[in-house]
Amino acid sequence: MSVSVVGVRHHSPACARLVAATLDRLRPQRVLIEGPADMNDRVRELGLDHRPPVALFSFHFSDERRHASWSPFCAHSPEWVALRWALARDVPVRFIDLPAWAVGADLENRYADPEVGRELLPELERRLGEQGYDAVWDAGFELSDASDLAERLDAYWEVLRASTPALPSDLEREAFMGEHVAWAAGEDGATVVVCGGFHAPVLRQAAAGPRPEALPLPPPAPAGARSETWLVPYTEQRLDSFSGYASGMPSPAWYRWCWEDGEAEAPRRALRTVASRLRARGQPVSVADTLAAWTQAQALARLRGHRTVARVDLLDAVVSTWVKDALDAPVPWSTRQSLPPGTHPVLVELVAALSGDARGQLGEGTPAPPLLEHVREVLDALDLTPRPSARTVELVPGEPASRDAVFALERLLILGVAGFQRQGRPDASPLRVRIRSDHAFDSSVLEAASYGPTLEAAAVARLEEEVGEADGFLPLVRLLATSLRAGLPGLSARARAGLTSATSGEKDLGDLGLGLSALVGLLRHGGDGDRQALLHLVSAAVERALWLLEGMQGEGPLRTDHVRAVGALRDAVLQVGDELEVPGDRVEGVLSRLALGGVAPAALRGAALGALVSLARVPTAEAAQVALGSMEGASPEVLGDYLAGLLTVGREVLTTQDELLAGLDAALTGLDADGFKGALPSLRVAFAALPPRERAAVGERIAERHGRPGRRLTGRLQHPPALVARARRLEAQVDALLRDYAVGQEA
Amino acid sequence: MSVLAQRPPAELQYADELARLAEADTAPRPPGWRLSLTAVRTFLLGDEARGIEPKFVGDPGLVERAMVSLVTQRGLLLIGEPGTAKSMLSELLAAAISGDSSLVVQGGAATGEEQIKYSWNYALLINEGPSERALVPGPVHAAMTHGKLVRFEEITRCPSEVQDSLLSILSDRVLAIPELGEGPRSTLLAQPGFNVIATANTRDRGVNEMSSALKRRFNFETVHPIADFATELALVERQSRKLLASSGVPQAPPRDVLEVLVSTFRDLRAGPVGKGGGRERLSTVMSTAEAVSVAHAAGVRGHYLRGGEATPADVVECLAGVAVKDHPEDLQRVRRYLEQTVAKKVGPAWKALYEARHRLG
Repeated sequence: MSVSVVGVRHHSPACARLVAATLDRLRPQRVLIEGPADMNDRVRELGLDHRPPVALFSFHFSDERRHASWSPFCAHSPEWVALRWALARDVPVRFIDLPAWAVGADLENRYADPEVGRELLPELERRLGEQGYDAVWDAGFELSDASDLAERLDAYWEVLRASTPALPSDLEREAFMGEHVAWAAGEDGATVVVCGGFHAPVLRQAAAGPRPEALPLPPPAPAGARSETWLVPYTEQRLDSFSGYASGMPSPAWYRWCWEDGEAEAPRRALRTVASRLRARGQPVSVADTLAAWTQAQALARLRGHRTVARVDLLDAVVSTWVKDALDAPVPWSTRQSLPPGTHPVLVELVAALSGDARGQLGEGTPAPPLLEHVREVLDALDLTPRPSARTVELVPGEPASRDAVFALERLLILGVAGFQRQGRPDASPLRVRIRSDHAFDSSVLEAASYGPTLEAAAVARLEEEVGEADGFLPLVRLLATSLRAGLPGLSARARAGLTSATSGEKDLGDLGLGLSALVGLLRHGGDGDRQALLHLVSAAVERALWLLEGMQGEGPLRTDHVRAVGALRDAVLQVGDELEVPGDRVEGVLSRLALGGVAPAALRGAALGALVSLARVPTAEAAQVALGSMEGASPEVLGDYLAGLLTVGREVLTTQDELLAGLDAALTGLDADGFKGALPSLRVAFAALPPRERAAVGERIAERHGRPGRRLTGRLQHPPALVARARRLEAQVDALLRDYAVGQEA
Repeated sequence: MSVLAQRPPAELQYADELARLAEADTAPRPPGWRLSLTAVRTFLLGDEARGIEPKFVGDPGLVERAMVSLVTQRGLLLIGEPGTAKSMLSELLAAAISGDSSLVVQGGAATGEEQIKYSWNYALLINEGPSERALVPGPVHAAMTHGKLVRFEEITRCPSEVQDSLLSILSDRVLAIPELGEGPRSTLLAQPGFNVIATANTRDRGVNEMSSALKRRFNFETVHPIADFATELALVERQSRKLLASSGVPQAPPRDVLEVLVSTFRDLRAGPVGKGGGRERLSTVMSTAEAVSVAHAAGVRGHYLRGGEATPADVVECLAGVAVKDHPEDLQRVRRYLEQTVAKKVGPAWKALYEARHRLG
């Protein structure tokens, strides 16, 4: 008859102990747990001999929607403790939450923390004298007297619930969970419900609500959709990696130590681990340092009124005593951010040590995740199964016949499945992959299984993880290109958000230009589904390019990549046109200021002018005047750079305006031998921008000016085609040889 | 207590608060401390209920770590950008812990060992030879004798050998005075409560790099610019109102002008930060203190030049002088910011700021 609802924070050892004590005390007839109800038929799988962390991985595929969700468990998860308690005693246990796919909003991590109300957290911080939710939690619950923990937790959950607005998806889930609770209230014997604290007040009320006639069942998956839940191994690193909006408790290893060895021992173990990790990296950590950190940690704990050294005390103490530099940003545990690149190595090791590197292992007899079977089927169907003798398959992307095989191979490569090796550059066509059977094939696929049940799902999830880790704009654009090559359009919102923020943070104009032209290329070949997302990215990159361009000042060596970035900007505007989210007059404004301002490097001034010309914002005649003015009296190097910029981006000025050609001719003939040598490298770049036919035309016009008409610089080769082909082959071999020895310049 | 001084030291300015805190302080005090750690924390961070004004706006964890460092056998080094209130923090800590913030060594290229430790009264020295009477104690000597905190400002601006004279003082807590001959008189043992609070400026990095031996004897605490927009805005409003009142200007700049000003400073300070950590900061430090001085100047301009409130145009006029100090490129960066970033912002104050961009000069 009685229903006890234990509201918990997921992955909290204190809550896990409370759950264990409650179960031992009440000896309930049934246990209800917040978890995916579509797993209920197979809940016994969780009782096998697993080594946590493990996770329930749910996926859902239909034509409209693709969705993956994790419910991770570690040894000190209250839900895990409850599950194992019930399964060991043959007490009926049920998951009572909606399947992840049935929740309206995307449920990425079922056991994420709820958002804490905007007013509540500062108030809690002030009263407890702590900073950040995790510190408040530790002081209030982890390091407090267990005797009245339940009452304090309940009071806290009431306040949290009252001060924090629930999302529509929370309400949907609570309605479903509430039906279970109401049903259980009418059954004989005691029931214990373990759920997130945020839901606890609502579920407690539900116990008194109207009783449903039967045990509620999860909604059936829509017709044509495939949705499954599997148990997969998990890692502490991934437990900790949900930084940002779907984050749970931080530092899984720290709390594991609290669970295994107690709160008093955990800080000692943490300090030892951090010290040995740093020493392994060659960072000196002396005994005196360790001693100083330990003293500091204890003093901080005492000052803050903690009964033992808390997580923040230890983190603070190590930073105080071991970091001998200014930090670029406040310590990350007060604000719950992931570490930005360039973080102090002590901080990096410190956070990594407390995050832990334990990997879960599934017990004997756990049904294998479907990925292994799926991969075998796909390989068989496409005749790509690895054999003992190596072979190399060659496929042309874009050809309908090889489409499936290309996608499958690219996805296997994304997942790093053993036995498949790419030959040549990732964007090379044809795609060449060396296939050979490998003893690590099964284990590598099983490892990938935590990403998803099918090749496609797993590759998407893996790519998204890489997106999360990638640093900078260009690597992210490359990942985006990879996703399109592998036939995985729609990267999730998170991945796109990462790209947008990386775009606005990119500081290298050259990289930005490369990325931008890659994006414009993708836009040209991309499917309709991605067009909007790509347009948005292109706009963000254009925006960033404008910002970086306006900051360019002073002369330096010719940066062809910067010039190409202006070209990429021009291409983006031409390709995207009105759909670009950046107003045209802003683009024009920046380019004009650049071209006429006189502070930017000569190459960029030229390039900006060229861009204005090819965007038809400045008539060519006027541009020729500007160019002549800019080149007048310039040093040979500057002259060459200016021309390189101008011709790379807007060569039509030269080919159509005789006046410019005349001016240029005069300027170049006026140079002495040394001056000409100084200008030569840039001039080469400048004239290389002209296609051979135009270059020839310019050459002929110059020859005419000097009274030597009729020189033909282009013409048909008078040799048999076979000979030409042989010469080409030979040249290619020479090029390859040079490349092997890293001789020669970039193309 | 009323104090007649242009700027009274913290222990005088807040004498009343310190006395009340000491009276109500029941928590254990570390040896040589005037107050317990909790009382010092309250003094710095404020307590509305007890009428204690908040003095340090920033990370409470930093204050805790700093105090704990001062109890241990290591010195405390506050490091950060200029204008992040490092010196103020060290003054407040010294005032609360030792009741005396006057033991200061101002570091500089010409700072010598005698300014730190001790020097001599040369008349007596010649007359009597080296004696305790002839010795003129420097700040460190005085602090060791009385068990107080000594503040060492801008330590990295001192020559390295002068910095290193702190080594034995910090590790052995002993100052040797060889001139006084042998025996107990020639070694000064630090009394409980003695410690060193040094400050250093990140922009001076590499001027006189600290030796690693000395680094080991300090706990480093980085003081960051105020993280929270609203907190910084409130601080700028409060401080500029105070300054403007002392300049005879009755009204503080309007709220939206201050918002625009503080956002501009924050944007220029950090530069856009993305995944690549790409920051393009000005070479000048856009500190909160500078924001206050721009708000002050803009208010003065508005009041005395036009007889009205400060406008975004006043902000632009004052911005160039603040943001562009050493490097002319900074002017270009500010101009780019006005041209591109401000152009996209919405609201009348931002629009006015954008319209006034040509006034940057």
